[in-house]
Amino acid sequence: MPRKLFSTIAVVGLLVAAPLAGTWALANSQTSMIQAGVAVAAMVLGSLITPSGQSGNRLTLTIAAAAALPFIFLAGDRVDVSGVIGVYLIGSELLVLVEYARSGVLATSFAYAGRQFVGYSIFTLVFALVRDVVGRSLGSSGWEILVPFVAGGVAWIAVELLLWSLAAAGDFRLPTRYVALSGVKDLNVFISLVATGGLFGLMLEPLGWWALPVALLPYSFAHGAFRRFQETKTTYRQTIRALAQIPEVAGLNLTGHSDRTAALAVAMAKDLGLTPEEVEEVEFAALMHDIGHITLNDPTVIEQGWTDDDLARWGSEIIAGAPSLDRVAAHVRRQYEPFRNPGEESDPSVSKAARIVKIASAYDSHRVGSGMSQLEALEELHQGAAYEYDPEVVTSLRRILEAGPVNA
Amino acid sequence: MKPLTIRQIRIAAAYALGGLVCLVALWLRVDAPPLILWSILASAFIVLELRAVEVNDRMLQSSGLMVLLTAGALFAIRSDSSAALAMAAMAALGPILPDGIFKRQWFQPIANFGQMVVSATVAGLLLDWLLSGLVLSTFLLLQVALAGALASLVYTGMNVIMVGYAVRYVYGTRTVLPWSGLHVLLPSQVLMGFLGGLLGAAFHLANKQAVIVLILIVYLFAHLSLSSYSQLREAHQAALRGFVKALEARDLYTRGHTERVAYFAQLIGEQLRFTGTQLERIRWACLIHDLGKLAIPGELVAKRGRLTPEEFKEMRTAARSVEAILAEVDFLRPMVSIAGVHYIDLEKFDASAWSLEASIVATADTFDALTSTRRYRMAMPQTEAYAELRSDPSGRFYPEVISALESALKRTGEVYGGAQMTQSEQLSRAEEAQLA
Repeated sequence: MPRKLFSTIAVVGLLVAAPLAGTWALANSQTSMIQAGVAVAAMVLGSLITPSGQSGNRLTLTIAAAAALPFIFLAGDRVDVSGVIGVYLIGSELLVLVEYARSGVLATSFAYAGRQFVGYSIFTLVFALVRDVVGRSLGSSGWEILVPFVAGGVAWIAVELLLWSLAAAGDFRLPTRYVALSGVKDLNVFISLVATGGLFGLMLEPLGWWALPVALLPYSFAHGAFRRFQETKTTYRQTIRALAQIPEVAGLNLTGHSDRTAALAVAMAKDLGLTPEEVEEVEFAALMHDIGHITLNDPTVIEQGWTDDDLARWGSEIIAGAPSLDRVAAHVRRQYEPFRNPGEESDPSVSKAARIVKIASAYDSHRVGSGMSQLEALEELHQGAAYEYDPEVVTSLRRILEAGPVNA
Repeated sequence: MKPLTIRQIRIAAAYALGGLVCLVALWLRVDAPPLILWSILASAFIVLELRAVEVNDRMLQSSGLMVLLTAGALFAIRSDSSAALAMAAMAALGPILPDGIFKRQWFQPIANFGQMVVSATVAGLLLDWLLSGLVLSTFLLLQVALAGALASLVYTGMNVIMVGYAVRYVYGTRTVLPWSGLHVLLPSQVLMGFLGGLLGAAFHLANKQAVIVLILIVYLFAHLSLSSYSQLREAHQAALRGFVKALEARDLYTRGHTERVAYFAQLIGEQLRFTGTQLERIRWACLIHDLGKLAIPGELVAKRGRLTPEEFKEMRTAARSVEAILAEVDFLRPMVSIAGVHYIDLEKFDASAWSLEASIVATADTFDALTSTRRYRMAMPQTEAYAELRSDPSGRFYPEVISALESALKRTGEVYGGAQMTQSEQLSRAEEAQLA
C-alpha cells in the first residue's frame, strides 16, 4: 500500500522532523526570525480564506503567501532557499493543526499539508535555480524575475495537479483522469493566487506595506467572480432538480425517481471515464429524463394515449426550450432506444449518456417501481444486455453496486 | 431619409468631430506616451471592454475603466508623456466591438467614439493638471488613487451627460435604459478609478513591467470567471424561461399569459419607481407563478364551468406541493413567497402577510385573466377590469397598484381586453403558434 506508506511517512515527518528541520533551516539562513514569524503567520491566516473552486481541491490564500516568499527572502541577489523552506516547514506544521480543526481527520490533514509543502518547495527550488542560471541575462526591468517565476509556477502546478489527483482518486474511488480533468478547471483560481503572491513579493520593496492593498485589491475582484460563478452553478443545479421533481409531486412518476436515477447515472458516467462536462450532461439528462411526464396531465393526451417515444419527445421539447441544454435534450430524446436491433450494429448516433440514463432509470424502476431486490434487478438488466441495454454500461452498474450503496 | 436617421447623423457627426478635434489637438500639443507600454495597456483595455459582462439586470461591468485610469495616472506622473493623449487614444479604440460590425450598426459606435474620446480627454487633462511633476513616494500613493477616483467620476459623468443628450435628441423622451442604474454603478466606477490610480502609481514606483503583467493575469482570470458566471447566469435564466414557455405552450388558452403578467408587473413596478433588483425579482415571481398549475390533475384543468370547493382544495394542494419544491432553490425562494400566494384561500386571506410585491403579481395576474378570453367567458374591456379589481373585497389588490397599472397603460397607450382586443390577441396567438 504506497498510499498508506506515504501518509505514515508524512505523519511522522511533519510531526517530529518538520519543526526541527524548519528551525535548523532558518538558523542557517539570512532571514531574521521576525521576518520568518510574519511569513508563518501569513501562511496560517491565508488558509482561512478559500476561493470557490469546482474540483473539490482545497485552494487557499496560503498559496499566495507561499508564492510571495522567494521574492522577499533574499540573500544579496539570490533567493534565500534555506529560509524559505524553513518557513514552509513550520507553516505547514501549523497548517496541519488548522486543517485538523476544520476536518477532524488527522491523516488527511497531514496528507494535505504535506502535499502543499511539496508544491511550495518545488516552486521555490525551480524559481531559485532558473533565476541563478538565466536571471542575469534578462536585464533588470522585471523579466529577470518574471521568467523564473513562471517556470517555478508551471512546475508547481504540475506537481499540485499530479499529487492532488492521485490522492483524491484514491479517496473518492474515481478514475484519476476524471479527477485530474476536474482539477484543471480550478487552474484559474490557482494561477490567480500565485500571481497575487508574486505581485505582492515584487511590490514589497518599492512600496512597503502599500503592496498589500495593491496586490489584494485585484485579487478580491477575482475572488468575488469565482464565488459568483460557483453560486450560480449551485443555483442552476438546484433549479433543474426542482423542475425535474414537478412530475413526481404531481403524482405522475415515482417519488424520488429523478434524484436516484441521477445519482446512479453520475456514478456510472464517472466509472466509464467520461469527462467532467459529459458527467454534468449525464446528470442533467438523468434528472430531467422524465420531465415529459408532466404532459400526462394534459386532457387531450389523456384522451388519445401515448407511447414511450412520445414521452421522450415531449421531454426533449421542454428541455430544448433552454438553448444551453440542447445536448441534454438530445440525450433525453434518445433515452428509450435499444442498444441495437437484431441483425444490426448499434447506432453510433445514440450517445453514451442516453444509454446510461436508460439503464439507471430502468434499474430504479425495477427496484422501487416493481419492488425487485438488487440482484433481481441486475439479473433483469443482464438479460437485456445483448439487444436492449449497452453491455458496457450494465457491467459498470454491477461494478458500482458491488462497491457499495450510491447516495442520492 | 427618415427624420430619425437625420438626427442620428447630426449627433454622430458632431460627436465624432469633437473626438477627432481632441485627438488631433492633443497629438500636436503634448508628448506621446512610450509606445510599448501604451500598447500593453491599450490591449488590456480593449480585451476588457470586449468582455464587458452583464453582472446584474441590464448593468454592464467592464474593468476597462480601471486600465484606462491606470494608464492615466501612470502617464500623468511620468515626465515624458501626457495622460490626456494616452487616455484619449485608448478610449478611441473602445467602441470597436465585433458585435456592432456584424450587425452593421454605425450610429452607436461613431457616437460612442466621440463621446468616449472627449470624456477621456477631459479626465486626462484633469490628471495631468493634478499629477504632473509629482515626485512620487509611498506617502503620495493615496493622493494618486484619489485623483484616479476623481478622474473616473469626471469620465463617467461626461459619458452619461453626452449619452443622455444624444438619446434625448435622437429618440425624444425615451429613458436611457443602460444608464438607469447609474446610482448603483457609480460606486463601482469610482472604486475602479481609485484602484486604477493606485495601480498606476504602484507601477511607476516599482518601475518593472513584470508588475503590469501579473496584475493583468489576475484581472484576466477574474474577468474570465466573471464572464463565465454571466454566461451561466444567462443559461440558468434562459433554462427557466424556456421551461416555463415550453410548459405553458401545452395550454392553448393561457399561452403567452406568463409573459403578459410579467410585462404588466414590470409596468407597475416602473411606475412605482422600483429598483432594478426589485423589478427583476418581480419578473421572476411572475414567470414562475403558474408552475404550480402543472401539478393539477388533468380532469380539473379540463373541467368546464366552476369547480366545487373540494376540487379547489385539491387544486391548491397540488399547486402548493410544487411551490414547496421551488422554495428549496435558494434563488427562487423569495420569488415563491411573492408568487406563491396565487392559489390563495380567500376565506383565510391574511392582509398582514401580504406585501406590495405580492399585490403587484396578483394584480397583474388577475388583470390579464380578466382581459383575456378564457374557456368560460369573453375578454373584459380594461376599464371594467380596473373596476372589478377595485371592487374586490379581499384587499389583495392594493389601490395604488391598480392606479399605477392604469396610469402606466395610459402612458403607453395600450388597450387590453374587450372585443377588438380579442381579435388582435388571436392574431398575436397565430403568430406565436407560427413561431413555435
